[in-house]
Amino acid sequence: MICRLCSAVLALAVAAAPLAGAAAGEHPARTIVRSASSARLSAVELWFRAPSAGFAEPLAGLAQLTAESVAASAGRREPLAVLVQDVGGRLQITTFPDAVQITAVVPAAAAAEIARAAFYDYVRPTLTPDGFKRARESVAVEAAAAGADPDAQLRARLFGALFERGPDRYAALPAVQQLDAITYPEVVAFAKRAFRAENTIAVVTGAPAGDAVMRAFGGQAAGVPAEAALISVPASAPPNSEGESAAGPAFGMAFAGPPIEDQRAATAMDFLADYLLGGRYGSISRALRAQVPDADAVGQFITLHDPGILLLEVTGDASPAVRDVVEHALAAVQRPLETQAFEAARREYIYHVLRDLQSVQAQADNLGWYAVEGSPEYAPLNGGEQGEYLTLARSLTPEYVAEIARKYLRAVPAVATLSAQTPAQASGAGAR
Amino acid sequence: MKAWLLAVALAAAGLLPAPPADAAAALAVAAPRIIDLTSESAPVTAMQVFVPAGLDRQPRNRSGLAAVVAQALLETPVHGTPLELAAALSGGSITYTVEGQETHFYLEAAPSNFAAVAVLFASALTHPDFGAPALERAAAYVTQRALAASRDGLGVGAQMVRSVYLAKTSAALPAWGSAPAIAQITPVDAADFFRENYVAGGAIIVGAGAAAPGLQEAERTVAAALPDRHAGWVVVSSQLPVKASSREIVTHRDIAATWIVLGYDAPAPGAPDFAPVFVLESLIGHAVGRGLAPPLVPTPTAAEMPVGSLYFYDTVPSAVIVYANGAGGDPALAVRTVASVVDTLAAGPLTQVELGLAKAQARGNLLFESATLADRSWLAGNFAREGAGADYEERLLAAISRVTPAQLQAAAKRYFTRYTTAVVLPRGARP
Repeated sequence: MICRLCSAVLALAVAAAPLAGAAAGEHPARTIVRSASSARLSAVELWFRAPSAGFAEPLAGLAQLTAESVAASAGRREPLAVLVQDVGGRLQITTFPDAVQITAVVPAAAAAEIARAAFYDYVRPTLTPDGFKRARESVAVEAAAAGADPDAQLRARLFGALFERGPDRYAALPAVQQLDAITYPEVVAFAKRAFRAENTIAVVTGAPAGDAVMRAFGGQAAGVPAEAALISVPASAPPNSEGESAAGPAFGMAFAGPPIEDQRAATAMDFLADYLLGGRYGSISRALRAQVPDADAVGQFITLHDPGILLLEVTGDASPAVRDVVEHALAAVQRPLETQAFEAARREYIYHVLRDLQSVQAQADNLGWYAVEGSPEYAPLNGGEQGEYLTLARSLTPEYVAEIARKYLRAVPAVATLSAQTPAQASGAGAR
Repeated sequence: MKAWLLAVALAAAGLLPAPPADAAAALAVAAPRIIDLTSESAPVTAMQVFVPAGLDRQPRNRSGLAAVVAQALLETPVHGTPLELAAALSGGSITYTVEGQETHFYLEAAPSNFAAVAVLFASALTHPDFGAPALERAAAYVTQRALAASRDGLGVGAQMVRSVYLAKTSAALPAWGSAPAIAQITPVDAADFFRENYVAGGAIIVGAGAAAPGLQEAERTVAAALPDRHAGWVVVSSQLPVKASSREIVTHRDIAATWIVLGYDAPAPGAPDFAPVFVLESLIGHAVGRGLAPPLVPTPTAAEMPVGSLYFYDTVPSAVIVYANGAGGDPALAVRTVASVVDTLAAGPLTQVELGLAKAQARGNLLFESATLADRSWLAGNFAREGAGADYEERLLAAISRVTPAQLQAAAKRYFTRYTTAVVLPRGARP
């Protein structure tokens, strides 16, 4: 199969223009296009640097509600959400503490059309009350689902405890009562500031080679988002957080880690997260299977501007035995692994990195995430085997990884414990 | 003698083994078919290995045998380490899926490590461990999965529909079997099943992803590990599919909300009506989904969706299901909506605009079904196994473009007026 692959992170400085004069496509902050002639699906993504809880008084869920309102509003034509469905694609909107991500995965032949429509809709948002209403209904469903999801509950508690201030304190999705508090004017104001062309990172993967997609974004650019990178301040002594969950018991820990600019340390944390929790054979996963078989563990190092976060989550059991297993594993990685075990663990970790870059959406997510966090060149997809990321991965040593573990895992973590709600508690909660 | 007794026992139970379609072929030398789907842009290398060791080769009183054998293979020690762990330590992975008419193993690794992972797999194929301790571990794992599957409302409903349209063989047995039947499986059962069905005849090997050093040699190594003979007989039943205008099957499980699954007989891949029915399945799923609970941003999995549709073309014969999850709304309303949509489709042709949208969604669905290397290699191998051809996905995309409003209307009348209703209720609930 003939496949021509070209990857371009294009560098052309573009002068900032005032918002009022910004026409769609005039100046995206950064455009990343990775085309492949053999791909039949394309991922079109827009990333905006913006706090999920808004720029002013924190309003949990403001970014998600605003982004969905734009997708649901019929301005110049049918809403983007409908347009994407009509070409056979799927739209996904995700907010992070410091960024908003719009993803449309569509048949490759429709990539340029959807790129043009999405960019136009977001950087010149035409919000409608009807779109706002539909978005509220949609976010309410998502918020209810998150409320019943122990992973989402743990994450909200851990982030809330780990950070004293900054965007990472707030959950991306609101509680249903919080959703009611967000007004239409607040959504309009957020859209105007967050969804500016000069605050955009546009990523397209899998599109046919050519300049149609590039034209959709108004040309080639490689600036940085207009909004400054957002920084959260960790608490010096994170409080323990306890609660109840209808979905059963759960236990989690979170540690502040290195910023993205400390790339070697961040790579070492990725290795550690994979060694502890990667698939069936992570050290915590294996120990839990043997000692607490009802428990499932997941986790990752989240590479962020500053600081990164190591997240460990166990569901199904929150007994002291679970905490013992986790703490034992965290202590073990503070000593250098034996060479053979380290090499095997690194092979597993590099495979997991590559495995997670298969689909066009995974590739676009990867490029967009690292760009919005401020280090596009560090994206694992960039450069493949010879890229910065995998070069750093190959440079890790057992001693260096242990040193990084001692540096970041000896700090006091945020700890959250959820106990199982009894049926009576659950029905009482539902009645309130 | 043992084979004769088995035949008598099966005959007494209304189950008769069927000889291979072409008895003479069993005498010919068998070799796996190798399909190449390599692509420069993929970050990993993969291989999908199909063997004719599906559910349809299991005796009905050994439901779960195919999964136990596959799991035991994954736990077979290679140089002292269980295969699955050995693959992980080598920088790759090996998984398996048991289906109605085949079992397929999926190997994946960083390109530079792929050949080593394939050699580990070939080694386990050559020296599988079906000793009592190994089999006990495999059976314990499969039993756990069987119990979990019994609490999956959509899976149970789909299984009930399969038991109707696949009633002639064991292909409709649950993929993970049933706990009482698994407890009966002996090392001899496992060794016999492996010897009879892990063979070259009917096997397909699909190489996919990044071209890796030694990939072709690895394909040949795996192929050589499969004995050059044809598989054992498919176990058939004298129980024939019911052909009433519609029927309802009800069961109870430990689930939180009711599931309703409507099952329709449907053409298999390669059949002239496959493209029109593929479009219809997509259209009905979208129409019902949009009408009942329009998600603004659709991201859920099939089991999380309040309503949806699936085309089961992993077996011949094939079927379409439309399902409704009681946790997402009134499932009876979903059933009425489906009936209304089908009536509309059968009553008159779609406009060109409506047809264009339906085709776009069907094409999109097909492309999403081959988004990863695992999906793509399964799709190609499955289409090849069913006789439609490894390149059928491309031809299907073209065929979808040629579907006319009249074909859709005819297909709606032909395939969507008779159906089976499977109702899965929480324990204690009434239909």
